[in-house]
Amino acid sequence: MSVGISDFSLEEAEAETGAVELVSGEIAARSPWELFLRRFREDKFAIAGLAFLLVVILAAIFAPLVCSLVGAPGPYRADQNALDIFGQPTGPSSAHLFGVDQIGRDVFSRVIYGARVSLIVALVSCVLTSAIGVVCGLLAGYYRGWVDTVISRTVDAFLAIPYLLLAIGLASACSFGNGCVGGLIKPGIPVVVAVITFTSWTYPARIIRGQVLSLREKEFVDASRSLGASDFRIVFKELLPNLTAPIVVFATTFLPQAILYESALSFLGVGVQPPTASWGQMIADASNNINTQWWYMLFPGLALLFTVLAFNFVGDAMTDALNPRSKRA
Amino acid sequence: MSIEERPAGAGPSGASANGAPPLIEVRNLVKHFPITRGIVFQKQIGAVKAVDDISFEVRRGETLGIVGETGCGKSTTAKLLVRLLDPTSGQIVFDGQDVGAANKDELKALHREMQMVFQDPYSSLNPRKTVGSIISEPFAIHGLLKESGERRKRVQELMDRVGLNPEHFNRYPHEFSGGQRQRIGVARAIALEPKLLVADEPVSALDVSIQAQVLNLLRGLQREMGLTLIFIAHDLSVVRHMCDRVAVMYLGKVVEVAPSDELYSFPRHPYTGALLSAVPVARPHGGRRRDRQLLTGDVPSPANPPRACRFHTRCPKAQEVCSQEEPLLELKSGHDLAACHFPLTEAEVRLRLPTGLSGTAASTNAHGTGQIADQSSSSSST
Repeated sequence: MSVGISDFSLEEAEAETGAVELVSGEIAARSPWELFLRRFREDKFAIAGLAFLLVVILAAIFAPLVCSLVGAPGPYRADQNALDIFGQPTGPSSAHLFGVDQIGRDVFSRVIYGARVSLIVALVSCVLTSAIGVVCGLLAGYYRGWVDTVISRTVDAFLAIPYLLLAIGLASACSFGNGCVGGLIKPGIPVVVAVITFTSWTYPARIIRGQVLSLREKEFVDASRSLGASDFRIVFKELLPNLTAPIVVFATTFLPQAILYESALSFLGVGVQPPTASWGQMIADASNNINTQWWYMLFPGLALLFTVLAFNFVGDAMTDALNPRSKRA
Repeated sequence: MSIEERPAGAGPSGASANGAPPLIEVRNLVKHFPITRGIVFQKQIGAVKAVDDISFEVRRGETLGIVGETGCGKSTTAKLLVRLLDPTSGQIVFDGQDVGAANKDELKALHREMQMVFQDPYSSLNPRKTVGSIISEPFAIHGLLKESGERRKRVQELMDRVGLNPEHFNRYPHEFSGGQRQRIGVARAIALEPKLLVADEPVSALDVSIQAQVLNLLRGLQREMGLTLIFIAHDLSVVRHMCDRVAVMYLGKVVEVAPSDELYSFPRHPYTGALLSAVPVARPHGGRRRDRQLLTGDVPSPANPPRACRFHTRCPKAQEVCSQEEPLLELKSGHDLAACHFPLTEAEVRLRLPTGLSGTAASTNAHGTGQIADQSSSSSST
């Protein structure tokens, strides 16, 4: 919304972007993308969240570098000297910023390395889940009839599958030796992602289907059809942009869920295998001795908490910023 | 109000005089919406006969009005014409081509020739798209004006043409008023320079003051671009202002088609008479007393319409034959086609419409006089 912006913020924004397009010598109206950036920047929490996520992602990518910079010994080295005289782990110290775990591994290194697993699992399964769910929901809602019947009944069937039971089944069947189906399914990140996607795509599918059912009756869909638009164009160019809010909301609430799913699956033995670190696995391990070794639970827990919060802030700001009717501008 | 002004040069005789074939011919068009029962195994237990065997034609360059009560099938007819709905049976011949039988590619080509302006300016524009991208959508769909600079220039020309500020192309629909939004809809509809524009109640969602502006815009565009206009409305004075000929629909049937001056001064079908006598008169005490013909009861269900003449359940002139034999759409007087066994007589029309009949006999030249002028002359004569 270009109305009601104070001169101050206008100048500021133009100074910052420095790329306001000019049409025939006059100030051009802002493009949707500029509007989005402008609105997004208004949200301080979102900026903080984005910065935090950036730090986490960079730390995950450059984990070895970060560890060596801090002087941490890396995630796999079990250092007997870090345990006290009773063989118990020691808390945070200058040698081990976040303390060490049961067998003397550096918690700081494990949190940094664990971000890799958690983020990959969360992002990949979130993208897959949303993509499959949104496409299925769009098709079911737009075409209705038998397409809807097939998709909706499939969704119902999938909803009946308890994901933990599936995970336990997979774990007991496939976690030994070479895995099952000729080594195709064995514990690891791909199986975690597959299990999460397999059991979760139904939620966005249902949400989107419901939205599309009401959207498709709007006159702008008729208008587009009367212009000669193809079904593909109507579904992806007319309907999809109207679904950004539910999709972003779903994605941002699902990301933290996926991180937690991963930890549960790892705990059950379908997920990443020790000694690979993941936040979920660390929390699961730490739950046994939370009373005496608080640091082993606290640091991966904080990492999880802040990441989840940051995703939520960013998602929230994106929903607002993508909505042309939003008042904040 | 400027609604009462009729710009000259758009008379009914002008359109009918040239011998060119009509732009659109509708023959025995039927649209039934099935009523089904059951979830998995659906069984059809009936049908809503939204449009039931109607025929009419639209000449090149003329404006045909379609009026009728809510639920009489006006909008269904409009959607059938541009094939947003598939007809149950019957033919729509547009410029020699059967719209109902067109395949996907033919239909896409046809959609360049006919466009629609929608009723609700709030839901007919995608709220997530900028005005610029809404108006350039026709070009994107048909792969025209591929260069974005060219496209934007054309979009801005269109915005200027319909009376919008061309600099606002990056704004969103909700930043505009109802009338401006309807202008956006019009700009989108004329972008491909169609031959036919179907306007489905384009002003019924707008303020009265804005209505006139949008109507004048449509008339201006029609004159400039040689558009043929099908104008659907339930506001009779708006239709009179806009249309060369008017078709009156009742329960899925066309009951009367006539040049608008003839229709408004000498309606032949009792239903048309009832509609016209329900129009409020600007000077209730100045004019002659009139007997308003009030219809009793509700419109029967289109799922189970009355036999034969559909109006016989509410018609003051109905007789035995009306429930036995369906009246055909026939020439009753002048250029007036009506489907009625007992059309209104002059005396009956005079009772219902003190303002009417002033120029009935020679109604061909009647389009110069407005409603208010008619009324004062008839009141002074009595």
